[in-house]
Formats: sequence, C-alpha cells, structure tokens
Amino acid sequence: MFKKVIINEPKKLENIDTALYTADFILEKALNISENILRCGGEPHRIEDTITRICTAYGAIETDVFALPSLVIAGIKMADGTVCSQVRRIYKTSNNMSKLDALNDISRKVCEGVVHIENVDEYIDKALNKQPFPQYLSLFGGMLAAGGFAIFFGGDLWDGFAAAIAGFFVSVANLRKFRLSNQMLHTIVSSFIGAICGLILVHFGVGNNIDMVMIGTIMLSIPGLAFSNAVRDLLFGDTVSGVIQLVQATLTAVMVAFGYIVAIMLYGGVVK
Amino acid sequence: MNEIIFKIIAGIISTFGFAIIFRLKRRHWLLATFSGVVSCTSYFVFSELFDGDFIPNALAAFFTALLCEYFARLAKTPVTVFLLPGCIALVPGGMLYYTMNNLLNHNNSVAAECFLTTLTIGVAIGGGIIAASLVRISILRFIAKIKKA
Repeated sequence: MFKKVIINEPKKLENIDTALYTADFILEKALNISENILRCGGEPHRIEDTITRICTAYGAIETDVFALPSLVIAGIKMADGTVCSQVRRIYKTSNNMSKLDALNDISRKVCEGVVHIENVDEYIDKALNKQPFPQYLSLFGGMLAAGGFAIFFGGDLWDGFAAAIAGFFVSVANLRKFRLSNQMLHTIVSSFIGAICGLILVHFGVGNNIDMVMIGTIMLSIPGLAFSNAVRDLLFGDTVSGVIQLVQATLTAVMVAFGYIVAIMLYGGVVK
Repeated sequence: MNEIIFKIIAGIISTFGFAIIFRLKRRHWLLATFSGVVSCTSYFVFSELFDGDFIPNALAAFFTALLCEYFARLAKTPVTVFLLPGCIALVPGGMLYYTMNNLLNHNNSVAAECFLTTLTIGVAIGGGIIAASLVRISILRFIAKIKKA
C-alpha cells in the first residue's frame, strides 16, 4: 500500500578499510545484534533496517533481508563480488525495552563507526547482562497496572484494591523463574490464576464488581499492542509478518479467554 | 467531571505500572508516563466530542503516537519503548472480557457485537499509529528538502 521509506539513506563508513572484513564476518555480527533485538521485542521491519545499515556501513553493495517474528534471512554482496547469506531462527520473544534500547544504541554506534565491528559481541553480552532494576519490582508494576485499569474501566477503589492483589499473583506467575516453556500454556495458566484470584477476592467481599476486577487483571495477560502492530505491518506492506502477528495475537486472546472461562466455570461448579 | 479525572489518574498509574512491566530504563519512565497522560486525557476528550468507537480511539492513538515519535527522537531510542506503555490504556481489554462473558452466558449476538467492537478499536489504534509515523516521515522529508535547497 505504501512504499518503504528510508529518510537517512544507509551510508558506507569512510575511515574503514572494507577489504579487511569478509562478507561472512560482517553479516554474522549484524545478525548477532538484530537477532537479539528481535528477541527483546523489536519489530521485523526494524531488523531489516538494522542489518541493511550495518552491512552497508562495512562495504556491502547489495543487502537483501527478510525478517519475520521468528526468522531472519539475510544475504549480502560485497564490492569484490563475494556473496554470503545466513539464516537465524528465533524461538522466544518477550518485551524487554531496556535491552532493546541498549542493543539499538549499539547498532547505531556500529553504523557511526564509534563501536568497532570486531568488539560487537562483547557489547551485546554487556547489554544483555545489565539489569536496570531488580526483577521483583515488576510485581509492584503488575499491581499498579491491574489496580489502575480496574478503576479506569469503571470500578471503585475497592475493585482497584482487589485487582491489584490479583495482579500481584499474575505477575508472580509471569516471573522468569516460573515461566512455562510453552507460551500458549503459560498464557492459559496465568490468566487462570488472575481469574481465580479475582473470583475468590470478590467472593469474600474485597471487591464489589467482579467485571471490573477481571478486566483489571485481563489487561496483564492480553497481547497488548500486538494486534495494532499487526495491522500496522499489514498496511505498510509487510504482509507475511503482519499475518503471523495477527494470528499470534488472536490465538493469545483466545487462550486468555479460555483460562478465564475455565476459572469461572470451576468457581460456578464449586459455589453453586 | 470528578469521576473522569479520577479515571484519568488511574489510567496514568497503570501506564506507569506497564512501564515497569515492559522493563523500560529508569530515565524513560517519566516520558512514558507522560505519553500515558496524553492518551488517557485525549481518549476522554475525543469520546465526549465524537460518537462511536473508531474515531476517538484513532485520534487518541494518533496524538499519543505523534508524541511518542517525538520522545523517541529526543531520547534516541526506538519508538516502541514509549508506544507500548503509552497506548496500553486504549487497548480494548474490557471489550474482550465482555465478549467472553457473553459467550459464556449464551448471548451470542451481544458477544459478536462486542467482538466486532474489539476488532474496530484494534484497527483504529493501528491506523492512528500509522498516521503518526507517516506524519513524522513527511516532516523529516520536508526538513531534508529545506536543507538541500
């Protein structure tokens, strides 16, 4: 629908002797960065941009990249006619914005020539091992988010309080230690925990409206902007990755609904 | 009026919560929360002005995304960093719940209606984000043209 627009054209670095590096070496380092960007929640079109920029900076005259949420295919051609292509498969993605920011910073510095391409792996290791704040703080974040949304969608303060407690348990289930290997199963389990906590709390009179408490906790497990990102990719012409993200988002939403329905039915069977 | 301010404050708090959940760097927390302020406020303002679900959500997403593009340029970071927590208040979690609840209670027609609303809001947010990024691209092109001339 729209043409791909690149404002700042990728440029070749001037002060670097490109004959020193083989096509294999450059492409491998570029893929190391972009693979990790994709793992930390970067969009596929960002990967394509990153690889094109890095390879062009180090002397590739042609770069062809195709990125999906789970796969990156890249091929480059150097000035002396050597060609190379490599493939990476990505199994797990999560949203970790501090790592995404650090990795994006590295890729920009590589393109500017501030970071030498030989040292890229060290920088990536450093970026991946850095924690901006301890992990248990995300439990607090989950409480704030769930409680806030319970009130935002029309509940009162007690609903917010109940949703915050339920959100705490969902966040505990979302900690890396307790993550299940299957993403879909994990979604079902975490939304089940959220629903059952909400139902028990409302049953004992902590919250008043069961709907609002449930909506507060549901916000923690739904795929967030994944659906809108899929629409965005579709309209920008990345049809395949858009369709994949659309299916993933819909499937996650169905799994969340499934977890909640199981909890509600279980509660109905026990109490009534 | 008081109730809406109460809701906006709740939305801002949950935006901050999501900024922690998505593990933003500490120096980005303030900007991300501010984009949440804009998304919540503009959503309530536009839903007073316009009927339906599409236009208020699309406009709120547009202005939030525009602000996020500016913040991303300011902080030299990918725009996703601010967009994810900023637009989270617009995500139709409530409608998804009502869809499910009505399916469970065998109100299939109401469930279908809620499901369509969920889809509409999702598409509206996507459209708003696209519009913002197109505006950014055309502004940058305009600046590049001026610099050349």
